[in-house]
Amino acid sequence: MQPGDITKVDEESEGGRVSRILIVEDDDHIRTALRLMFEGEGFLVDDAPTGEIGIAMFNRMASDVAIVDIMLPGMSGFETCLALRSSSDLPIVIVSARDETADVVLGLESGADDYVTKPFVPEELLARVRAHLRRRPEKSTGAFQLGSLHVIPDEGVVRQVDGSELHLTSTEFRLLTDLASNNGKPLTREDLLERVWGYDYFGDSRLVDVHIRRLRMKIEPDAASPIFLVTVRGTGYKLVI
Amino acid sequence: MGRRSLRLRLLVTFGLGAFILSALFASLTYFGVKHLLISNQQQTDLKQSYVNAALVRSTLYSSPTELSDLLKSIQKGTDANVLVQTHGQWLARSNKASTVDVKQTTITIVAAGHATEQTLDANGRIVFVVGVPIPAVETQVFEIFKLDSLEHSLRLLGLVLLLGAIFTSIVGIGGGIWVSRRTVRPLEEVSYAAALIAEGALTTRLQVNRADREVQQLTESFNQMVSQLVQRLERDARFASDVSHELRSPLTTLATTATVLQQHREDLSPAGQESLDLLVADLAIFQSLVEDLLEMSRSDAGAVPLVMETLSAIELVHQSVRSASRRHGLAEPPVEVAEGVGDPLVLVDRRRFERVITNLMDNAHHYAEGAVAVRINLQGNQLAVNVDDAGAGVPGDEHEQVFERFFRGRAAHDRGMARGTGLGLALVRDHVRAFGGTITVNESPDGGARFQILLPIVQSEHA
Amino acid sequence: MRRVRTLFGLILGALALAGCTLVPTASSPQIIGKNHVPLGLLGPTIPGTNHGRVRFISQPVFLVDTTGHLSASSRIVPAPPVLESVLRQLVIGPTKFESLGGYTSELPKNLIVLSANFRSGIGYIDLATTLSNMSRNQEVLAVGQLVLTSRDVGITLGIHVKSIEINVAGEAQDSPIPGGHHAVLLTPADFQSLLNA
Repeated sequence: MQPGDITKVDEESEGGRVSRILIVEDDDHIRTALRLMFEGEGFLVDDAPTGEIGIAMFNRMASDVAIVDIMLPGMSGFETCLALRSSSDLPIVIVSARDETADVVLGLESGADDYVTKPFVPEELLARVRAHLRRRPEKSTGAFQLGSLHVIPDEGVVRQVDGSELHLTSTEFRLLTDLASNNGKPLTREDLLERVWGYDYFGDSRLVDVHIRRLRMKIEPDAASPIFLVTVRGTGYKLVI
Repeated sequence: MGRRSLRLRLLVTFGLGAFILSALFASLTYFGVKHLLISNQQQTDLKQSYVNAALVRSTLYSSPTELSDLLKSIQKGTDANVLVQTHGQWLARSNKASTVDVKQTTITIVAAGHATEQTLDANGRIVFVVGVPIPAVETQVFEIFKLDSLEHSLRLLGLVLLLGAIFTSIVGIGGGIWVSRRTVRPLEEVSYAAALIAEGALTTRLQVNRADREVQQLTESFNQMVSQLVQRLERDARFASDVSHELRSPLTTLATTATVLQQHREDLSPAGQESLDLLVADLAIFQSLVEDLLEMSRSDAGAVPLVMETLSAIELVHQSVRSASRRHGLAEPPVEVAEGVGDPLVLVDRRRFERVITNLMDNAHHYAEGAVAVRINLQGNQLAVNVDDAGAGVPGDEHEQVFERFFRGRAAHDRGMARGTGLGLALVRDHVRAFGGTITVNESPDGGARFQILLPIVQSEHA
Repeated sequence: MRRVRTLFGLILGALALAGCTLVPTASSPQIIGKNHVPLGLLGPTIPGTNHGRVRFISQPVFLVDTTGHLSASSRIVPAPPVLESVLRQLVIGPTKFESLGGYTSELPKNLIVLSANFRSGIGYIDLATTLSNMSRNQEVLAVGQLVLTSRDVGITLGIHVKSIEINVAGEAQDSPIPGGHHAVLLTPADFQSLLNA
C-alpha cells in the first residue's frame, strides 16, 4: 500500500443515502480503530462488543452492512450471523483470527457473505465493504428452468414444483444468475469474484468454492454428482440449463 | 578396517571361549589321568616284580630246579616276562622272554646292587622293565611288563576328551548364537526404529513386553524419549504458531489506526506526516513478516494440509501473476509461453502456488526493478515456470543458500537495508517441494536472476 | 583375528604333542631307592636263615633224549656244585619241564647215591644198589649219564677228571662201556659216542 491512498471523505453515500455499518468486535482496540476508520470514510458506525448488543442495535438501526468477529464472548459470531441473516438480507463480513477452511465454511453457512482474516489490510476491508454495498442494482435476466426448479431473477425467488420457495441468499442468487447469463460458458473464479462480489483483486477463491458447494446442495438432485452447476477443470464453473 | 559385527564377535567369543575352556579342561583331565594311570600301573608292576623276585629267591633256595616252572607260571599268570641272571650269565627265563629285551645298562646297574625301573620303547611297543638284584642268592631278576593296554586306555581317553571339547565348542557356538540373537536383535530394532523416526515417522515406537528386563527397560526408555521429543517438537511448532497467532489482534489495531491516521493526515505537522509515512511503511513490513512466520510455522507443524487440484498451468500462472501484482501493487510482468508447450496440467495447491509467484515477484521487486517476464517452457517431461528479472542477479556461491530462512545475501547488504522478511524464498522452496517440484536460481536472459520452478506434468486423463 | 588364530594353533599343537607320546619313555633306567624295595630283597641273607650269598649256577646233567642219546640239560644248583648233590639231582629224574621236552633217565628212580667225590682227579661214586634189571644198552646209558654228569661237575670245579669209578656199597664195580667191554675205571671220553651228535 502506498501513502495517500486513503483520502478523507465526508460522506459515504450510496444513492445519496449515508451507509450505516454495524461492527461487532470484542477487542476494544480493534473496535475503536475500525470505528474511527469507517467514520473517517463517511459511514455511520454502530459498534457493539457482544453479539447480543449487536443484534439489539441492528434491530433498532437497520444497518446496511455488518462486520462480525467470530470470537465473541457469550453468543458466538456464527450465532450472531444466523440471527442477523434471519431478519435481513444485509451483507455480512466475518472477521476471524483463524484461517481454517472449516471456519470459512461454517461462517458462510451461517449466512455471511465474506470472510476476512486478521490481520487484514484495512484498505482491503474498506474496499470489500464498499463492493458489497455497491452491488445493489442487479443484472436483469429472464426467468429460466433448472430441472424441476423455476428461477425468477426479477423477483429474486426460486420456485419449486409444489409452489414453495427455495431460500437462497442474495449472494447465492447472484452467483446462479451470473452463471446463467453466461449462456452455459464457464466463468473462472476470478470472474465470479469480480461479478458477484465486486472484487477486483483481493478475493479468496475459497469463497466461490464454498458458495458453489452450498448452492449445489440446495438446487442439485445429487450434490455429489452435479448436473447443473458443473466444474470445468482448469477453468471454473458453468451452469447447464 | 571397518567395524566388526557384534554378532560375529559374540559368536567367536562364545565358540572360541567354549573351545578354549573345554580344551583346557580336557588337557588337564587327560594329563592328570594319564599321570595317574601310568604311576598306578608302574606301582602295581613294581610290587609284582618284588613279589616275583622273592619267589625266585625262595625257589632258588628251596628247589632251584623248579625255577623254570616258576617263571613259566608267572608268565601264564601275569603275562610278565621274567629273566634271571647270575654273575653275568642267564640262569633261566620265562617262555616268551628274550634276553635282548634287557638292556646292558639295566644289567650293569642291577648287577651293581641297585633296583631299577625303566619305561622304554621296544620295537614300537612300550614296555616297563624292572630289575631287582637279590644279593642273598647272587642273582638279578628282570621283569618286562607290557603297557599296551595302558596305551590303549589313554588313547581312548584322549579321543573321548577331544570329542567332548568339540561338542562343547559347538554348544558354545550355539550359545553364542542364542545370546547374540537375544542381545543384538533388540539393538537392531532400536537402530531401525531410530532411523524411521529420523525420517519423520514420528509415531514409531518399539514393541513393549519383552522377556528380558534390560531389553524391556531399553524399549521403554526409548519410547519415552521419542514421545518426549515428539512432544517438544510439537510444542516448538505450536509455539511459533501460537506466538504469531497472538500477534494478530495487536497488528490489526496497528494497521487500522495507521489507516485512521492516514485519513487525518492533513491535521498533522510535516514531521508528523513524515513519521506517519515511516510508520505505515514499516508496519507493512511487520505485517508481512508475521504472515510469513505464520505460514512457515503452520507448514512446519503440518497444520494446514495441501488442497491439491489439477489445473491448467498456463491459466494458473496468469491468474497468480495478475493477483500478485494487483494485491501488492507491483508492476504486472508479461507471461510468455514458449512454443510447443501446449496446455499442460499440473497438480498443485492453488493458494500456495499463488503465494510462490507472489513471493518471487516480490523478491524481484526488492532486488531488481521488478520481474521482467514470467516465462513458461518445457524441460524434458517437466514444466518450467521462470520468473526473470534484469537486476544484479544472485552470485554463484549463493545459489543454494538464497533459499535458506533469514538468509541475507550480498545483494541485501549492498542495498543498505534489508527488505523483505528473509522468509519469502524459503517459503517458496517449501511450497514447491510440497508440490513435488524443485526450484533453482540461475541467470536470466535479461542479465539478472532467473528463478525456475520445475513441476511434474500431470497426464490429462488423470483425476 | 590373527591373535586368535595363533592361539588356536598353539592349543592344537599342544594337544597333538600330548597325543603322540602317550606313555613317556626314559632313555636310561631310573634307580629305585634302597628303602623302596620291600621284602628284604636287597638284604644279604635270605630272611629267616643265616644263609647269605648263596650262589647258584647252571650245571648240566645228562639225560636221555627222545633219540635214545645222552643230552645235557641245565639244572640250577648252588655253587660250587657238590658232586653228591648234583648226582642226587640227576637220579631224581627229569623235571616236568624236561619231561615235556621228552627227556627221560635210565637211572632207576629209587637209586640212592651214598656218596660221591673227587680224589686226585678220579671221581668215586658209591651207590646203594647195582644197576641191574636193565638191558646192557640201558645200563650203558645209565652209566654214561653218571660219568658225563660227573665230568662236567669236575669241569665246573676246575678238576680235570681222568676217570670215574662206580662202587656199590663200597665195592668197585665192573661197569659196561660203549663198545661192549667192561671196566672199573671209566673214561669220560669213551662215553662221548653216546651223545647226541
